Formats: sequence, structure tokens, C-alpha cells
Amino acid sequence: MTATETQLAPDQTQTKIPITVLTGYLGAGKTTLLNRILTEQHGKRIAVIENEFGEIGIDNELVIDADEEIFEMNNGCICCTVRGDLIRILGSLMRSRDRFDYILIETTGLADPGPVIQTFFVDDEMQALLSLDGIVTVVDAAHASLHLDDSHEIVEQIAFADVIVLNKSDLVSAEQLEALQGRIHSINRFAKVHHATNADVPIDAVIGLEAFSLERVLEFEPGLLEEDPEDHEHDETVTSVGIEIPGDLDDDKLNAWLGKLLQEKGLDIFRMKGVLAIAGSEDRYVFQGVHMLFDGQPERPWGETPRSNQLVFIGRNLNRSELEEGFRACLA
Amino acid sequence: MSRLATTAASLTVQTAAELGSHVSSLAWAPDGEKVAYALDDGTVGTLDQTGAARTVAEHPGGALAVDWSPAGPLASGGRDGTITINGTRHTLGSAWVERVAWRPDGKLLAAAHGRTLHFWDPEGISAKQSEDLPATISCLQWHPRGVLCAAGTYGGARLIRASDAKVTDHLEWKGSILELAFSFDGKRLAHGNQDASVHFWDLSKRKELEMWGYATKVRELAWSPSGRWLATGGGHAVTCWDFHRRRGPAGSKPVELEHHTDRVTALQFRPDTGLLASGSRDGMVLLWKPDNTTDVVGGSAAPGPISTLRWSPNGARLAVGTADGTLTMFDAAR
Repeated sequence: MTATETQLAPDQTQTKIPITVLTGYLGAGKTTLLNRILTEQHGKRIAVIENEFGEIGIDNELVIDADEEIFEMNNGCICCTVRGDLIRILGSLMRSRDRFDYILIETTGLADPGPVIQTFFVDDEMQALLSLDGIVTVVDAAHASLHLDDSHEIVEQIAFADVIVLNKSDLVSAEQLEALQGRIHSINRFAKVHHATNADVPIDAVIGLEAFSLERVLEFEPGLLEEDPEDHEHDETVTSVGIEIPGDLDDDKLNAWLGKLLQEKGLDIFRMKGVLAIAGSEDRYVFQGVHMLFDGQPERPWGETPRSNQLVFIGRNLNRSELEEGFRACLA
Repeated sequence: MSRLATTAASLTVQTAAELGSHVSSLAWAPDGEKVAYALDDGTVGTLDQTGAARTVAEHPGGALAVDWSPAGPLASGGRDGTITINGTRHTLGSAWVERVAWRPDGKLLAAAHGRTLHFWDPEGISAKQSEDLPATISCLQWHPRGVLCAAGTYGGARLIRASDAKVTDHLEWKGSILELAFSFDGKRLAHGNQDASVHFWDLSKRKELEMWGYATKVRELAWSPSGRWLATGGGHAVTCWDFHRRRGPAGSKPVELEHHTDRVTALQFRPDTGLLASGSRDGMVLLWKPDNTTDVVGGSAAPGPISTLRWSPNGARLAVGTADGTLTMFDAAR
């Protein structure tokens, strides 16, 4: 699988069933959130796929236990490790699509979210039938304050997230909460963070996000791209890097640079999004990626808006100046 | 693109039924008078040639597999973790039973339950089970002589001895196996894979061969009764590998049978004549004679995306099931 050849493009012929991936460390409150989603009056029939029995049971007629079988595709690329059990189970469940209209996947507390997410991009059947809606990570405020520095699982779960539910926030002081929030922000500047005491967040804050739709990439919030003065202090850890450069990019240079970057650093890059002005194109080119998997398409014309390029990375060992330099060299 | 060959083989609809749910699996009665079906809504039933459908078992949550013993009993398995043998239920556990298969002599049933393979006698009295394999069994097939059963998983195929349910051989392969098939003489085992490849094992010479270049994952495999052809899906074309070349398919280009306009989803050779039937997601059923021509020699249509098709034991009928719950019985006599 290579960066440029992988098509994440949706099949438009039928409506796809959205999937939310729920991650979080043991005891963070995933099951509480899951039960909250299931009992809410949202009119959706939700199928739940879980890998472990939580401390609280889930009451739903469609709960399926999965085995969390992580498969490496035969080409040996670790960025193409997928959840084989999900391909099998979801492929089978999608035979009767009218039975449910939303899928929640709860991962084990120690899971790296990468393989779950990649599953929806490397299998053509999954791609055709399902759409990844978003990754929701439940963080135990008290536990994370103490363990964020020695648990790479928590850090990765935060790095992959579209939404972070900062749960049990009543159990820590305001200062601790603020420090934790700052730390989360330095890892993943783009996730929406919701405070909760008993996983009590509005349902529409966690499902129906369409976080992987390319249109959503256009909704970059101003300010997110500004350089974080602390970036340089966290070189060895997981950080977010946002770059904005005005002007037009050369298509060939960009492809060559991104291709090389993803080949060399794909393992360290958890997520990536961008809105680009390609020389000779009227439309904004939007893209996003997970590790080496990459999807992009033209959206909405620039019109009167000044043409400019925004690119964000969330990953490990990101070198801001190197990234910026490489990106700048792609200018037409 | 091929023309319709003049030596046409015909398919005429004998009967059709609206069963209302995805047809997961089909199996013919030994006399070829009825076909059994497993539906995604949990129903296991039989359809006779007059069009009368009769429910014989239920698997709450979904029926996944059905097989009819040449010695008589009908077996099924489903998401409820149970099998039925002639309507009597046996619980294997909480994992899905995704496959059931009678030994060629009909005297032993193999059932894939999660990571274990179970063997049951037709009376449902004695049962043996294999050790836990490292991953879920995605497919199984009996060796034609019935001593061994092959189970495909991520990481390879295991040959499991029927007499004591012991794993006697591990054909290690790095990747996820979706379907496997023994040649009729039992000397070769082929498996279709998640990563768009087909792998062969020559079991007597311990040689292996890998075929790449499929458009998508390969779940459709069928050996011709003559042993010459292995027909494979994995895209819009039916790709046939020729084993009668002196060196086998190694280094050869396969014969590509192209006429489907959507993904091929089901394949089987007619057991008596070697006529190949293929079905696709757009509901096309096509017949081929790869020995003679790459042209289509016959065909018909089903009312929905084809999920599975099966020839009757004497080849006189073809049953075609669809993803939207129809079952058509075709008369295929000359």
C-alpha cells in the first residue's frame, strides 16, 4: 500500500452506515458513555462491537463480542495493520443493513486506535458500506493527570481523537484540570474537548461528527495553526504541528514531498489534514490521512478568498522546522 | 469482452422464492430435489421444485451456514453459537458458527466455532474439538478422502485430523485466508486471501505458489472436476489457472473470463460436465467452458446481487441466492 495509491474515496451509490470508534484507558468511563449513548432517545438502532466486558454491562440487543485480532497485511507494512475480526464481523453484519443504522466500536483500554481506523480504509468492502464518523476518546482526568507521561496508550488515544471526553473532571482540582487540558492541547490541538463528570456529554457531541468527511476539513478554526511556543520542548513526544503558507503549491512537488514524508514518517504521523491551493486549480484541495493512508479531493472554489495552504500533523517526533521547510519548497 | 458463444448452455427458471433476507449459504439434498438455505435473519429452510419453502431451524441473530449430508441429515450453524443437525440443536459456545461442512461420506460434521473446529457425528451424540487456533477460523473444507479437514485463519491453513481433532499440519502463510479449496484429487490446496492474492500448496511435493494482481480480496474459488482449472474471483473477471500445463500455473498467464460488469461473488463448476457457473454483484449468472472458449456459453439473471450459487449433485439444477433474499432454482439439463 503506498501513500498516493490508496483511495479513501467514498462509493456514492448507497448511504453508508456511520461508525464511531470509542477509545479510552481502562476505567476511564467508556462503558458509561456507551450506555449513555444507547439509552438516549435518538431514534437510532445502534450495533455495538466490544472487545472486553467492562465493569458495567451493556444493555443492547445488538452487542457483538469481537476478538481484537490484529492482522498485518501480507506486504508487511505496519501502517496497514488492520482489525481482521472487524472486517469479518462488519462484513457479515452488513448483509442485513436494515437491522441497524449506526455502529459503535469499543476498543480495549490498551488498544492502539490505528489498526481499527485503518481497517475502514484498506478493505474495499468496509469502505463501500461504512463511513468512519469519528474517534471519541474518554480520558479519566484523575488517572491521566498522573499517568500521561508514562502511558503511550493514553497519549496515542488522545492523538487520534476527534473528540475527547475529559471524564471524572470533578475528581481533580481546577489547576490540575487546566494543566491536563494544556497537555492534551499540546498533543492534539484539533480535537474538541468536553468536560464531564459521569460521561455526561450531549449525544451530538460524540456521534454524527462526520469528522472524516473531507468537507469537515474545511472547518479549520483560526488560531489552530498558530505556532505553539512549547512545540520545541516536546520533540520526543506526541505533538500537533500546524503550518500555514500563503500562495500556490506545485502539484508534482507536493506529491513527491508528501509521498516521501509518509513513507519515511508514516508510522509516526497519526493524523494529518490539509486545505491546499494547487496552482492551476480553482478549488480548494482538501485531504486527510491516517498514518500512510491518504485521501483527498477538490472542494469549494477559492473565489475571493486569498489562496493559502494549511496543513496539520499530529504525530510523534515531529520536527516543525523540517516540515515547514519541506512544505514551503512545494510552492509553485 | 467476449461474445456469446454459439454452443450455448441453457438455464431456465424452474422455481423462485422470495425469502426476505440475505441468502448466506445453500446446500442441495443428495437427490437434488430440494435445496436448503441459511438466511441472515436466522431462518434455515428448504425449497422444493414446486416452489414450496419450509423452515426447518432457526438461529437467532442470523444463520450463516448450511450443509446437507450425502447420507441424509441437514446441518446448519449461526451467530447464536449453535449448530443444528436434522433440527436438533447443539450449543458450541458464544462465538459465531460461520461454517459447517459434512465429510464427503456424510458421517461426520465439521463446524467452525470461533477459533476451534468441532466434529460431530450425525446422531449428535459424540463430539470432539480441536485446540484453540491462534485466530478465528474463517473457512474450512474437507480433504476429499475425509481423513483431514483444512481450516483457514489469519496466519495460514491448518490440517486437522478427524479421528482425534489434532492439528497435524500447519501451512504457514503470512496473511488472512478467506476461503480455501482442495482439488478433487486432494493433492492441491488453494486459498483466497484478504490481500488480493491466491496461494496454492502442492501437498505431495510441499511446493507453494503465490498469485498476485487481483483487483480485490479473493473469496471465490472453484476447482474443475478434471483438476485442470482453478477458477477464482477477486474482481470483475473470472481468473482461471491452468494446472494441465507441464509446469502448472507457475510463470503462466491465467485465462481471464470477462463478461461480468460487477464484482464476481460466487463460482462453482458443474460436478458432471465441468461447466463453470459464475455470479456477480449485479445479479448476472454466466456459464463458461474454459476448456473450449473464453466466451460466455450461457447465462441468466437473478433479481439481486448474487451472494451464493450451488449446482445440484448431478448437475441438473443450479440454485442461486441473492443478497436481497431471493432464491432461484434453474433447470440446467442440456
